[in-house]
Amino acid sequence: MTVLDALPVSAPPAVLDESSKREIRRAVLTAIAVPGYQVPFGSREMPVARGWGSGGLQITLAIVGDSDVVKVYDQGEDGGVNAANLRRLIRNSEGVDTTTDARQATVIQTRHRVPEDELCAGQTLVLQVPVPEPLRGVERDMTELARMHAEGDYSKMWVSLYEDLVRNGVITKTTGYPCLVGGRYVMATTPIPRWDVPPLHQAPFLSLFGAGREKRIYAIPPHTDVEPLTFDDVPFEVEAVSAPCRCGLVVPDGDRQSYQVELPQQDGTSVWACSDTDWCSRQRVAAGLLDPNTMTETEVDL
Amino acid sequence: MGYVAAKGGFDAIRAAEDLVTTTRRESASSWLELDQIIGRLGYAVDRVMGEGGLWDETTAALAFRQAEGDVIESAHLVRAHRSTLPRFGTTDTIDADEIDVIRRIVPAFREPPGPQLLGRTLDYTGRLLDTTNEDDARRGALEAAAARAETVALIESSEQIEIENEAEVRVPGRLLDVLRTMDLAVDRRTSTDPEPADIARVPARPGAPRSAVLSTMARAESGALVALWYRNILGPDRNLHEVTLGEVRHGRLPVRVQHPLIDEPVQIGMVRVTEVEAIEDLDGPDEDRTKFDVGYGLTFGHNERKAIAMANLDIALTRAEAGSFLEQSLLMTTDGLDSSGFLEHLKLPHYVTFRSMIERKTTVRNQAMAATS
Amino acid sequence: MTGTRLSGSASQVAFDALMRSLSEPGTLHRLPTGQLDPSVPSIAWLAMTLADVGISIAANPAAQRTPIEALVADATGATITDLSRAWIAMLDQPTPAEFASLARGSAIEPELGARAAIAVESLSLLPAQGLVGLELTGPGIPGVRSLFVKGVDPAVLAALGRHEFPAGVDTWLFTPDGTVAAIPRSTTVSTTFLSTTTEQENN
Repeated sequence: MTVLDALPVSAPPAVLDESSKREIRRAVLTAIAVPGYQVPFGSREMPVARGWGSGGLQITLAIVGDSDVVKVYDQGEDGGVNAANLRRLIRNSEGVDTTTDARQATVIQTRHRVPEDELCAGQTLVLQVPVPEPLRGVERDMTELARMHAEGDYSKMWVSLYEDLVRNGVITKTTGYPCLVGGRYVMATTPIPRWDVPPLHQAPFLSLFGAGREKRIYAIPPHTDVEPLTFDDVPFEVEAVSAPCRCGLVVPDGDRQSYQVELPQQDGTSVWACSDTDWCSRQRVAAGLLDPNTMTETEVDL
Repeated sequence: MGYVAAKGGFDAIRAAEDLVTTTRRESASSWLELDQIIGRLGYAVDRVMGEGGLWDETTAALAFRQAEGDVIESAHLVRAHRSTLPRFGTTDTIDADEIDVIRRIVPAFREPPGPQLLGRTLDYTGRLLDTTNEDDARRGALEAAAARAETVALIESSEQIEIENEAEVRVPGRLLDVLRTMDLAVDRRTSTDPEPADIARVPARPGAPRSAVLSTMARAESGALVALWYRNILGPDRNLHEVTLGEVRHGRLPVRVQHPLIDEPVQIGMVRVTEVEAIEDLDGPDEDRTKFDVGYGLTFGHNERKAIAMANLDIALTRAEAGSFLEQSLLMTTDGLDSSGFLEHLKLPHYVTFRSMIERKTTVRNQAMAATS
Repeated sequence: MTGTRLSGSASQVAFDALMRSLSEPGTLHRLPTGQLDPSVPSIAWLAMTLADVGISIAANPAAQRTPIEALVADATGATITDLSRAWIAMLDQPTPAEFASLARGSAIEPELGARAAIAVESLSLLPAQGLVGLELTGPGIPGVRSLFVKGVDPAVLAALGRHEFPAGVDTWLFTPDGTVAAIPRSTTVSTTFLSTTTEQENN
């Protein structure tokens, strides 16, 4: 038997061949075994450019099968151009069903948001990562960065956080807040807002992180500690909710609102909207503020 | 046309794609044939093969036409195409001394062993824009092509003229051997024969073997290498002192694989490459001033600029001081797809992160106001 | 149609079981055993799913009673090497020395640690006569999980999991009928005890 015969045969020509999928799968398993560690992998060039989600895309393409249902969204929005493009690519390449409802999806590929819905065991979150290195701001030398992670020496990061606090009165890290995973590795949470960090802690679902350009994959298994780096007397702060969503949805006091984004108006005022558009629509339907019949399907099967 | 907040992002993409394809198809200009691109825009095709890391002129030409002349986009198309192809074997090691030269120059010596062959180059053509009337130019080209076809047919039919292929002439000796005979070259040869690093499998990081650095440079973006070279010879990095070129070659190399049944090497084709050896006049306090060091550069197609930069940077790396970021820069910042992809990703919506930034600024401001009141 | 090579879709189903079991150590999962000829040993599944050209595999002498290395190499293109250099090791009744010889990687390169497929007689979430009980804690485990294993030297079981994290070996345990459980190097295997009682299930 020749090597050609030994090749596993994929179904209709896909974006990734079987051997590429295996390379990604091997890296995913190592990432799960060493939570928070950036596993190098033979990242393949994808039909989307580097920096545009090629890493997340590779993970999704490598892990989905016939029974999976995939949601892809960007900044919380399914209808965004980039998300729609990726979703179409995945559907055409792997033949899987897609959805906008996070509760129905088995795999959720996301750029910079965690779903507002509570996910459950068996669901997988695939996050697109532009820069996987959490220590990038405090160290430039890659050899030294590798040593710091290997030895768990994060002193430079702590010093930088302390200096930030002293200089500004608060820790001014915006998104991609550095977290300690499994009590061992400091990890970049990708540019998700601080609002999205708490759901990662001891979550029932698996989170996989794909950095295609930097050629690294990392993971947080379910039921794993994810602790934002902060000081004992400085509580971790999420983004404050500034105003009710323009959709008119009112969340009862004490319940978690959703992450909102600001829409500056022509007259200088601002209106606020939920970033997670599908979650918002469903809440409004449930509250009788939106007629489900007016929600249109934005997808057409190619 | 909607962007982010538009529902129907899918419709927006479709509209954008329609715009691209209609403009392409309905262009008032004639259809661009692949043989025209390969025959008349060869340097572009060669650059696409070099940065795509795939030898096939037709694939590169197809990509170049689809990308409407954007070289990095073309290289991306080639590499993404590569991702869909199963890799099922490796060739036998190619001995660069088997090169069948189309062009060979040796700036270091007036008369090196083996001939110099100026070959086809743009170097000495005057940089004067040819403004011959289009009709005349076109007619001239057609006449020349017709005359050539006649000559070729004549030769083939007469069976009289045989073009001698002097194997020794076309496969010249290497200048490095001359330097070694004169005991002027730092000897980097080892008796071990380690497997070359495969950067498509294991991404290269600082500390990676030289083969990983050379592979990375071989498919790096040409402009990135040239710029990095310039920084090192005259710019702030200064890891190069004075470089003379030993070999500059453009030629073909045979590609062989082990036949699966008869277990012998079989030639399956040839690739055309540019190969350069660059000689550095070592002058550092810790270096052997009685010797030269030689760097190596190789890339697909005819791309002397890139291969020369590569050979120079190969030595620069061995000379770079501890703490210099040259290796990290070479390995991490010279890939055209990575750099331009990440650059252009800035066009994606970033409003979730931007909102978080505004929130922190507001908080700091409030904090400051509370502190002063 | 079964054979000695996994199709693309079967590879994905098998990988999903391996991934789920690793991300929730101590839980039980099923391999799509119908996708391969029954003569393929269960411990071959790890390499059959993950290996390809450029991956090194090895089996310990006990596992080599069947031509398992050749089987996997033919099916995937993997390279056969010795246990200490294998990226995927297939082990039947491994001795502690054999398990100790596997590559662990290092703190700088944890990914160089080996993956081990160990054959077991049976796996259970409940104690049963003759099974060794493992208490597992760590990432992927809410609190504590118990896993009961039959057919592996208890000294080898004690060597599984977290000893020199992040270096280490990631292990999957395979029963003959295709049930699998995993113990990654992040899991602390804290107690091993031989169960002497059988729990009666109340119906």
